Order: sequence, then C-alpha cells, then structure tokens
Amino acid sequence: MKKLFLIILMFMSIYNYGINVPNNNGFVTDNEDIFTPSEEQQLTEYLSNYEKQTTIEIAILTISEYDGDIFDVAQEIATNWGIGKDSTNNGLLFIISKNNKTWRIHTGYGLEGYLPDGWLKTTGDEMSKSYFKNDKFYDGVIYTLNECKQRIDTEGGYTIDNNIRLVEQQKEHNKNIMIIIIILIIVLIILCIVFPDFGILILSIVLSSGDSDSGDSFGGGDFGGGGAGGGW
Amino acid sequence: MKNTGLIVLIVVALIAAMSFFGVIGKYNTLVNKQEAVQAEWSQVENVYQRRADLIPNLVETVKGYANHEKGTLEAVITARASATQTKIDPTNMTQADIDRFSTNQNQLSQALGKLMVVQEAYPDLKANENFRELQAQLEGTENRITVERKNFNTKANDYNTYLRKFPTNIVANLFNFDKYPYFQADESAKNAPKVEF
Repeated sequence: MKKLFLIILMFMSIYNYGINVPNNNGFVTDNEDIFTPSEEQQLTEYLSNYEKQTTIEIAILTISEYDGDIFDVAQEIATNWGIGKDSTNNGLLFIISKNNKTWRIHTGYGLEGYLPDGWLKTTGDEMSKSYFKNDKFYDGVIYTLNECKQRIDTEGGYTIDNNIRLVEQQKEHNKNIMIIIIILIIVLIILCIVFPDFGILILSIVLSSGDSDSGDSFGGGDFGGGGAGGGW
Repeated sequence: MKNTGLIVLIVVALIAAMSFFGVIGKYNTLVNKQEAVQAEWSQVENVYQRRADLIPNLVETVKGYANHEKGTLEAVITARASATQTKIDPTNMTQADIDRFSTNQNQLSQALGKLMVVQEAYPDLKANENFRELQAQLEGTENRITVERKNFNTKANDYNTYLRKFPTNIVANLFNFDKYPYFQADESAKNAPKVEF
C-alpha cells in the first residue's frame, strides 16, 4: 500500500500542469548564471534604486528552458510574480534565454504607454546585435535599462510624484487594514479565553488555513501582454 | 400554547429575514460579476480597435514599396471595415453574436497575415524602419488580443458558474440574469500564416 502511495506521489511530481513558474529571487533571478556575482549585485542595486526613485518595479530573469512561446511564458511569470505596484501596474519583466537565444521585454499595463512595443523592439534588436551576440549580457542589459530609463524620464512624461502618491495611499490603506485585523485578533483572543470551546474551534480554523503568501517581493501589478521580443 | 405560536412566528420571521438578506447578497454579487464581464468586454474592444488603428499606416507603407499587391491590400481594407463595423451590445450577448464578432476579426487576422508575408518579395520594404516598427506593433496588438480574450473567458466563466449554482440560480432567474457566451477558438485562425521575425 505504501509503495503504491509513493509511486502515485512520484508521478504527481513529474506531471507538469501548464507553465512552470520559477521561484523569484529578488530583482535579478539569474537561473542561467549569465551574470557574474558582481554584475548581479550591480544590477540589483540599479533596479532597487530605480524602484525607490520612481516606484517602477523591473525584474530580470534568465532561464534556459521553457515550454511553448516566450510570450506566454512572460505573461504567466509576470502576472504570477506580480511585478509592479498594484495601484499603477508599473512593472516590467526582462526575460533572457541564452540557451534559446531569445529575449523578451514584457510591460505592465501602466508602462505600455511609456515604452511602446515598436520602440522596445528597435531597442532590443540593437541590444542583441551589439551586445548579446558577443555574449556581453550585462552590458546589453545596462544599455537597454538606460534607454528605458531615459525614455520614461524625458519623452514619457512619467509623473513620478503622482505614482509615489498612489503608492503611499495604498500603503496607508494597507496599514488601516492591519490595524483592524489586529483589533479583531485581540477580540478573538479575549473570546477564546472566556469561552474555551470557541477557542478550540477558532484554533482549528486558523491552523487549517495555513496558506502562506508566495513572498510579497513585488507589488502585485498586472500585465496585458504588451512589450516586444526577439532573438539573436 | 401561546408560547409555541410565538416561537413558530419568530422562527418563520428569522427564515424570511435570512432569505431576504441572502437574496440581496446574491443579487449584488451577480451585479458585480456581470459588471466585471462588461468591463472586460470594453477592454477586448479596445485592443481590437488598437489593431484596427494601425492598419491605415501599414497599408500606406506597403503601398509605397509593393504597389502591385493591390489585391492583398484591398483585402485588408475590406476586412478591417467589416471588423470595425461589427458591434455587440455587451448587456445582451449571445453565442452567435460573439462568434460573428470573432469570425470577422479573425478574417482580418488572415488578411493581415497574407499582407505581412508580402515583405519576403520586397527586400526594401522588409528593411524599412517604419515597416519594421509597425510589424512589432502589430505583433504587440495580437498578443494583447490573446490576453484580453482569455481574460474575458475567465471572467465570463466566473460569472456563469456562480449564476448556475443553487440557490443563486433562483435569484438569477427572478431578476433575468443571463449567461455570457465565450470566445471560441476559430478553426480558420489555425491556418493564418504566422509572421516570424
């Protein structure tokens, strides 16, 4: 009986439901190891600073294997990781696959206007031709990030103040919810002490609903399929 | 005896109140979900319109290099007109409506596919900056269309499932909430020539 159970468990772990979303590792998830530790650190700093200045969340992912079209993969991962702020959807996913010689820059709803598909395609093609073709991945990524940064700053007219205000409002909102939850918990605890049976019921509910958040590293932004991709 | 009467009255009143408030809750949820579907439909229309807006520029660019492809160009223009004229009322959508909408849009996709393939015979067109950018934008809109169609189906499914369950279905019938149709995969779309970069 135990053997059968183990076999079933094995089969279940082999069978893949749809697109496999890799675990997020912060701003830079370098599964293909195309960046040196120093380069990875510099990129992380760049993106972290950018996020602090503008609230824009950019994630870089390098991935050697994926199922299907890179567009579908980008859409799945970007929405799963929730890159970009919930209130403004200002996220960007930069996927590189050295193994497949493909790249894709996937823009969240909030960035589509500032980084149009056509412009991203032109910039990305330049990046592949001048840098990726020669295995200069770090230089290529920096080139594109700088181009995007400049475009958002100048032509885009991205209203940083407005976006920071929206994010602050969201934080305020979340803080209020936290306070309400804390008050409710205190009330529940008091009730549990006074009515022990009630306490056991609540405890069992809390224990069974042990669903943890998949790490709130990103703000929960949404994506509509904008962006561009290419190869080299 | 009086006591029993009172208890029965209270119980009946409680049940009536619970039913009443249950109905309000379900009705409001139905409205919310329906609104979500309609909002998503607007989004679907938006992304299709976005594609339609690219076409005049595209046609002009191709004309400049490949004037002999008159037939292909005209096919695109006609398909575009047909697609943009097909409007659906989101408050009253049948499967036939959405199928008609989808078919017209897919015919435009096919016509566009044939047009984009033309570049293989005209290297100057292929190399043209404007054309390449339009091509990227076109692929972008096609991607967006894919996403929003899927979102529409998801939201419609969410609403339809809630609608059909018991006892919500009673409330739904009472207030005339109807099922939403789905976008279906068009058989002909599978044969559309794919544009590779």
